[in-house]
Amino acid sequence: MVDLRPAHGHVPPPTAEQQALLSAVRDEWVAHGLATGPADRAAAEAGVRDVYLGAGRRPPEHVIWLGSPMAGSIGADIRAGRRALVTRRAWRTLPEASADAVVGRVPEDDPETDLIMLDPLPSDLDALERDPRWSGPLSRLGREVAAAVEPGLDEPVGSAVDQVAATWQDAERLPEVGALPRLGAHRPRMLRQLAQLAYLERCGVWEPDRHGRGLLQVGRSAGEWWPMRNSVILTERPTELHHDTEGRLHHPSGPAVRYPDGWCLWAWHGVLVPREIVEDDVPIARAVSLRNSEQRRCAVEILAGRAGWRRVVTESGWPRVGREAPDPGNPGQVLSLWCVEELYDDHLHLLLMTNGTLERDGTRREFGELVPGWIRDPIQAAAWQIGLTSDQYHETTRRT
Amino acid sequence: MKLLSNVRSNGADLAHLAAELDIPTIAGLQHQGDVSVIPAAMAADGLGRPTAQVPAAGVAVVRGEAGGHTHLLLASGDVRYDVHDGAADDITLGSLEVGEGATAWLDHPEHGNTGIAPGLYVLRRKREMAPRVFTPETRRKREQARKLARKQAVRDQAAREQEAREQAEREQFASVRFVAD
Repeated sequence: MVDLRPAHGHVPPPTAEQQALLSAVRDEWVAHGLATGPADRAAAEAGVRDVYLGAGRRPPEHVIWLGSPMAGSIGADIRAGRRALVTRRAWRTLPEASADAVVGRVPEDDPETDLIMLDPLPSDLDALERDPRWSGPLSRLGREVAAAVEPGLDEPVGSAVDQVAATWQDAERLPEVGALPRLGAHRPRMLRQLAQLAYLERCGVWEPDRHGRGLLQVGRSAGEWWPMRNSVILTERPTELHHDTEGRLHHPSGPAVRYPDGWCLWAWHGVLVPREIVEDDVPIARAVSLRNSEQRRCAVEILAGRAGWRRVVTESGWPRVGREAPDPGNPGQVLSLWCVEELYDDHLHLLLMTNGTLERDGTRREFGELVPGWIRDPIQAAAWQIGLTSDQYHETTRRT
Repeated sequence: MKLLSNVRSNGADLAHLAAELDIPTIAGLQHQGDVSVIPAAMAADGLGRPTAQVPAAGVAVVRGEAGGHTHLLLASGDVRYDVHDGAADDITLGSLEVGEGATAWLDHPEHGNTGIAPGLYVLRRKREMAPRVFTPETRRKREQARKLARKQAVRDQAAREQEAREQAEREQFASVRFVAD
């Protein structure tokens, strides 16, 4: 292997071609991070072997493939001897057959004690990292990869995995098991560092060692993985992944992420919500009384999209503000104002209005729009929206 | 729905088509969905008179993004429209002047067409409050504060009841008089 670094550690600044590579590398690693479909098991296992050998370790005896990050997390906890502390909430997120498969596939003997250290960007990068002409593009690359992959998959998956983990109360119940290490915490995939590493390799200024090459290969071919001393747990990638236009996890009628073992997440514009809110018809009274304020807001938005704001405001029991007023310029329709402080934890009112034009299917579209809480009159609210006074708004000739 | 932008070909007589489609032409305040046409006298924005002539292809006043539709400004005759370059949260879209004998139309696939009579106008877009987004930290603090407030309310209530009970007892005893000898 040719060492491209000059001996004294000086690296010339990135050329125009090298800078042009940045976006290609970014797109490639965002695509790896949000990839769907089966993992390339042979490549990933070869990568794991390189990672261990490159770090001067014996390759792991057990290579365990599981179907989802949740299964992987449970598997890592079982490998650590903490099976008794895997919560029932965690087991319940998996279909029964998949849960049985996890138990069957993960050996419980010789408990592991720690995860091995992975080091994608070693310390001999010093000269490159200190040079702002290199560190600038590198950190931008890392930021951009993280900005796409984290809200798009990693963050919601991580919070879903860690939410159902054992708490200290569970550990108190079984102190002897609670003293064992928790290895199944959601492990970030280090895509930011891997993309930087791939970029340096692509530019030809730095050649990754065997450890780094292994890391890149696992990152390209599998999902989350848990490397332990004598075993490694690798997981599959999602089979389905849906986003909204802003790249947040979102699906209006089904799971936003589905893994091959049946573990699913439901999300509304990036907020994880319980399955029944997305897939079943939840009564409005139940949706507005959800404890979690974010989930409550999402549930109401979903229901307003399905049943219309009019039904939501009448069935939710929110107080009406002011009195209904006929919509000037929109004969036969009314404007009304509702207090939605309970929904948003904020001093806001909701202005409910009806479209002047009939839709193709003969119905009228209703809009609910938020206005500041100091407005106590629907006409004044509508006037505030376009910066007029209510007297001026009364002069409206036509609304279409 | 019949739309001017569907039937219009370049150079077609817009006024003729509009008459056929029976589109009312209005000089007062009017709204098309979230775009409002406001007579300049009402708005008092201090925007100057517009200078740019509206081309035959029309001007997209609000471009349709993410599932929305475009509000298209069409003109027959001397119609001028200047886009107002404001801050991102500015509700003013631009200023519009419809010359004598000319007509402008706002065209939208969902709301239908609307005609604008000669005069000087300001075009504005509806605004909406966004609910505050809480970081987990502030959310926790607020929940804690609410919990404390609830506890305090319960304690106050208990104190008030205690007070009332003592008061009642005192009154009861106050009605018992010892005979002084």
